[in-house]
Amino acid sequence: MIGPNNVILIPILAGILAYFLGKVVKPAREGLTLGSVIAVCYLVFRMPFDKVISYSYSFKLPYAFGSLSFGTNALTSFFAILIALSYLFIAFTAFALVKDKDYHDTFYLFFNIVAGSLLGIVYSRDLMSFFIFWEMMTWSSYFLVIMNAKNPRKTGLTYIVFNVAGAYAMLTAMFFVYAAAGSMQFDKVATAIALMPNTKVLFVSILFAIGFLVKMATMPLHVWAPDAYTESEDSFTGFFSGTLSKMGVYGFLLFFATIVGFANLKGISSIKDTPTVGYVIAWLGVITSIFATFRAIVQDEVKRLLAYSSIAQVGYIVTAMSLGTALGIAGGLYHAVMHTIMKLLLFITVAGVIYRTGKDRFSELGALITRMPLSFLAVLFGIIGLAGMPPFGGFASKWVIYMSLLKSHNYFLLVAMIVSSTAAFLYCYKLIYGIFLGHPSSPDLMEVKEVPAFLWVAQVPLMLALMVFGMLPGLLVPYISKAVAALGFNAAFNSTNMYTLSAALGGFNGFTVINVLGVIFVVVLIWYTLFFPKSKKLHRLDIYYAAETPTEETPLHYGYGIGAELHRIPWVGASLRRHITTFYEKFAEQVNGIASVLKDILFNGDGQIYMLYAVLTLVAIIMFLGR
Amino acid sequence: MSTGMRILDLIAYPFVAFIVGMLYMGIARNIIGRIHRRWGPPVLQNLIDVFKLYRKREAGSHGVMFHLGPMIMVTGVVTCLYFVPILSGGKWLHGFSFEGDLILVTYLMVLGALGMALGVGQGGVPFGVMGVTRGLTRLIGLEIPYFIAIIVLMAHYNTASINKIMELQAGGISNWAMFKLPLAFIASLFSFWGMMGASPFDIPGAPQEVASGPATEFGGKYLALMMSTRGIFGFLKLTLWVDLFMGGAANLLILIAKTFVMFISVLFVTSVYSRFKVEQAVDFMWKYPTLIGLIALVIEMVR
Amino acid sequence: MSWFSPILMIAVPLFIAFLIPLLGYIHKKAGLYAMSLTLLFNMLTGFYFLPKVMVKPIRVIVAGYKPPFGINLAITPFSIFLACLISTMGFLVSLYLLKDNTTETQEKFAMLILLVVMGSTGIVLTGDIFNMFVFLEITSISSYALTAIKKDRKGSEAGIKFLLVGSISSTLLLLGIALIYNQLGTLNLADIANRFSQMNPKVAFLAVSFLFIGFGIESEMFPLNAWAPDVYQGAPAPVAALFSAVTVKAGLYAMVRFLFTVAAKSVFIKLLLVFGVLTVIVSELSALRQNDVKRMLGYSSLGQIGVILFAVGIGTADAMQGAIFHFVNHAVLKATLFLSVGLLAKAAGGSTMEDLKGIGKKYPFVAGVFGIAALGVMGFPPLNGFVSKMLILMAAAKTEHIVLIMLILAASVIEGVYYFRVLQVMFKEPEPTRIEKKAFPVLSLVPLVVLVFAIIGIGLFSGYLMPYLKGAAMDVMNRSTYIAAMLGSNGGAL
Repeated sequence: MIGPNNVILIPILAGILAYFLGKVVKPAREGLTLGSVIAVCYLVFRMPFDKVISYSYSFKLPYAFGSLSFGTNALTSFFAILIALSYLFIAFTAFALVKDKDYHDTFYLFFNIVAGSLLGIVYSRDLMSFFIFWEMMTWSSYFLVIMNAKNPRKTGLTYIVFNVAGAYAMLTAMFFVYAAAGSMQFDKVATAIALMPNTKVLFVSILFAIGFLVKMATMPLHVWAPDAYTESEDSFTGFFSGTLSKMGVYGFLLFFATIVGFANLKGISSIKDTPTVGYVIAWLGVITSIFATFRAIVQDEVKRLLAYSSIAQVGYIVTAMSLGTALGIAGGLYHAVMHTIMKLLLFITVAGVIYRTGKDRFSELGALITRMPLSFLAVLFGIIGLAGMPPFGGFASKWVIYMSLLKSHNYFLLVAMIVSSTAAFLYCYKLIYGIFLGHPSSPDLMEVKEVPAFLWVAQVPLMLALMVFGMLPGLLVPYISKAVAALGFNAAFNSTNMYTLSAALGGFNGFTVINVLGVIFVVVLIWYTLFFPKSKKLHRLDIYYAAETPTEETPLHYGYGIGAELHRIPWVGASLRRHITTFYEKFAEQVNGIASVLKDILFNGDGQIYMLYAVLTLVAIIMFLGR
Repeated sequence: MSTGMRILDLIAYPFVAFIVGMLYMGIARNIIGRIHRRWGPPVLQNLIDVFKLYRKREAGSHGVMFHLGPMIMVTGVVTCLYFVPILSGGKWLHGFSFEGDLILVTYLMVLGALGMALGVGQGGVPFGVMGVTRGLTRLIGLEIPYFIAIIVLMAHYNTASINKIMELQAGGISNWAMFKLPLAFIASLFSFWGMMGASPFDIPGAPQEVASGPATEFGGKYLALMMSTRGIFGFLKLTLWVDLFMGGAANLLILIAKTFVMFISVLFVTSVYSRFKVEQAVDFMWKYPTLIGLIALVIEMVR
Repeated sequence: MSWFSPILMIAVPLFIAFLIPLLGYIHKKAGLYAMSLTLLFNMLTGFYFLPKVMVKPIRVIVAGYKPPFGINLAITPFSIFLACLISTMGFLVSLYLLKDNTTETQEKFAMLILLVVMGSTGIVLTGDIFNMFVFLEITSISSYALTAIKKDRKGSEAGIKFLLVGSISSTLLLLGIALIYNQLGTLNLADIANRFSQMNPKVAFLAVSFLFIGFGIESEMFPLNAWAPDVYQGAPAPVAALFSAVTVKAGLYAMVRFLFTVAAKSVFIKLLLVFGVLTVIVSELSALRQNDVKRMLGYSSLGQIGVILFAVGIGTADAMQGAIFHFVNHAVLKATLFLSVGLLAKAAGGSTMEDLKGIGKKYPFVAGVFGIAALGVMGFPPLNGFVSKMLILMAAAKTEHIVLIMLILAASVIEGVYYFRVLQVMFKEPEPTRIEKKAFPVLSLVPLVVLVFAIIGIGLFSGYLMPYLKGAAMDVMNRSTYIAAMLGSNGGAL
């Protein structure tokens, strides 16, 4: 019987085999990856969505570990499908973009291992296997981050420190819980936590939260994310931002909703019917979105803008989820799906653009719409989704999040979220203008080709998905409802048909919106294109330029500097000038300082001092213990 | 209502908005003129301008997106219009407003601007992009008090549907949201003035600074489309505010009367104040109207 | 086969060690081959006896005098387990050395290595405390010589420091043993254990403190381990591997056996807990600022020893199981690290981070082995370091030492920082152009391959090791079984 444990092993084994076989037969790497992708997708989709199954797996392990158990339920299947599809799309991207690079061999090794460990995380049903696969994800993604990095030292260092520290915080909480429960299985752990005193439950929750907030790049633990997203291998960044951050979402829901339980937390202390811990985390999420959005606008590197945008969007998910309401969690899950789709689309397209042009800054790009029309369309769909505009899917998920905040009366959170949501329009426009519109920053941009064909396999379905989810926003509702029910909540939505979304205070019909839009657009297009004389094609430089004539050398690609005026808005400018990294850098300096002092004083190379240590220890023991 | 009537109703929608909107723009120029102690142009001037532009022999285009930009703009605006009920009660001029809510309308309002921005982008005029950037930055400022106001509305009436909000304001002037939630109304008024392009918030298309802003490169049929869209959009915003804060209108005459009141406030503000810089606008909007809105929010939460 | 007793594991290497100078006249390399063959023999003998001893401990009587009067070997599960580990590690390191041409005094090298391994085996197999002291001396003196064998400045300096501190260790041990002998009149471990309570408590306390410090120096406990980083840096890499895999384990064995089986004073066991955590914190922090990779590995080794001491100090059977498991894993991992760094440093001409820049691109296999071992030390699944670390921390959690767990995990984060820093320097810096690629001799790579398979295999299939670990742990925790086995009633005499 093919169970979750087999699904996890397939990519891992494929990766290891790919590394070794690939040394002999180079295409074996892509072939094995493709086979693994197809197998994983088939198996994941074959498993029933909301049936609860569990498997136990006593692989030759020490007795103390217990058996590693795996299983599925609606929440797990939800995320497993996300992982499988991301794996598929990124694999195709990698096929095209990695084949000429010199790290070709190690890329497929680590990429497959990452995919396998992600599946392991969502399928595990006990703390030990959860942690094992979480750590595997950490080290395999680390190698993918530094593979092509420009300054691997700083990027790798922050990545490791934050992710490992977060994982160890989780581990401490796990041990704490294990000591109380005597076992690592989720159900036993849940019953033990229900019996623990309040302070201990709070301690455990905060430690778990730290672990997951690091993965979701929430302030103040987000420091690793911009560098890691920007400098990781281009084709992998989509996987990183789209899927790895969702593991934090999954973990958060798993622990806070199922194992610890929002009701438990509410009982400890609550503000206005929301658990206090959840409320604090919700504010952290919203603050993250605001600051990250403003930082995204002022970036010059394309991937860095997308990195900050990812941090901001996941911040919305954090806020929606941590309030502990059914609609909030539904909104978080919906946005998780939408965000994955959008970020995959954007990062894959941007990776293709960088591959073709060799440039990764807005100040070096421009006017690629004529050369890369499909990519333009892809990024257009992506930013319409990112900005949360109807008629595409991005609006539906934002709508659910807003409704959930309205329903639970968290108006201040909603207002703060609007700030960042409105500011998002700016970086969306910058993204598309800086790359595709405007004027080319260098003549060789006019010779590039469209992105490799393999990427279309990823881009087209993602664009269609965005459109379909916008047209039929109710399509995902049954799945989300099942996942929410698996977490123990009541129904979140009011509607049952796939054209409309209705919950709490209102509803809308996505199908109508797209139809109206479509009809009007077609009417106007026909009217304009057919009933009017044809427009005269103007040369690119034939523009209004205040009575002067621009030439090829005139810098006309103004838009790459979008965001300059932000520095002049008092509060925004102040936030852009302060960096939380200074705090961490000072802390690291302190630790380094203590380490140097220790090293130089204790291990100073003088043999006689060493002898003295021995004698002093002896004297100390005799004096203090010899009563 | 039979299908034929319904189709007629739907087709009439944008035309009502267009004609009323353009007439308002003409009236506006007259009133401002009188304030400035001069005659203004004829009331029908804007309509004449639009028709003149349509009759131009050719228009310059910089590419596909340039061609499509104004079309996306008009699509967005008209779609948004269909989800705002023009009349309350009765069977005419509801559009599709029962299939969408206030949040949908808010986001649809931005769709047009973004489509326009794409066209401006391919046009490649730096002034155009500057205008777009200034517009989007200004939006960050304008949206906050507006959103706070509609949150107060939605919380107070416990619904997000515009039709329902209109219904719940029935029963006389004292029931209007304008008087029941005055602080929210005042906060939203600032955003309203900004969105209508009244000084001090007429930043994107500031003639002395960015040479018409987004509209710079467009001419001929494109410019006609943009001007008509401006009219429709203005009518849309007026109607929206009337629906939300003044209880909607049962027939067109009452609608024109109520929208005229709102419109006059715009005119008075725009003719008196001088333009902000974009950062000043955002800073201002984040301070005073937001504060008023937040007070309204707190009052609503306490209730 | 009554002549085939475990005593051969000590006798044969001793005999061959003294024979090596003579063999040198036959063939220049005969010494090295003899060393490897002897260690292979030791390894096979150890594994032969392992299953037998798990069932029933063996007591080997030497020269016909029964204990407690004569010297005997006490082959208990813990002893034979460690003896197998020591022999295996010695054999692998010797394979590496077979092709090492840089020392001209090859017979001395072979002889000293044999003596070190023999001495360590003797420590773990013997049942007599003075015998233990003698073997410890053999091991120490051979170690001093091995540290300085290259006759370069760093090695000689390290050797002197080792000698200085080691002499204190010897003195204290001798004093402690003398005190015990004075009180109890016996040198047999089981007998001392049996009659330990008969000692004057004050004298007993003094004796235990002396022996604690004495064994502590050999097992590199803080603050007695200041000599260790210098030694790890100054000695040639395979010798450093030997130290961290073999001699330290013998010292730890002595400490554990003495504290748990013989003296059983719980206050000293708690002291191990404290010193263990302190060792971890100080070592990991000191490693952070290291530029020389061998020295850094030395600090890291100290850190892992600290974890073992912490585990031993917890005092429960689960923790002991984890500690013994970590014995194995640490030996395997550190040997891998030192051996691979040895090869890379030889090719690069130095062992600082500057020298090793980009070396991973020239020698991807060896650097990859280093990387896998580094991941293992940091405790990433599914490698072996993860399993033992988890077992130790789980046992600590059961005994509510949460703060100490957090401290150790914090130190592990720092460990991650400096190990990944080395990996970055090796793999991400541009390839060094001044070094031409010379293939490493195959025989030097064989131990690396074996060790890597061990790392991954133990990580994935640790369940196979569990029965042996359980037996060894039980042996340490149960005093009475040991005493009874050695003093007569149910020990199998050979």
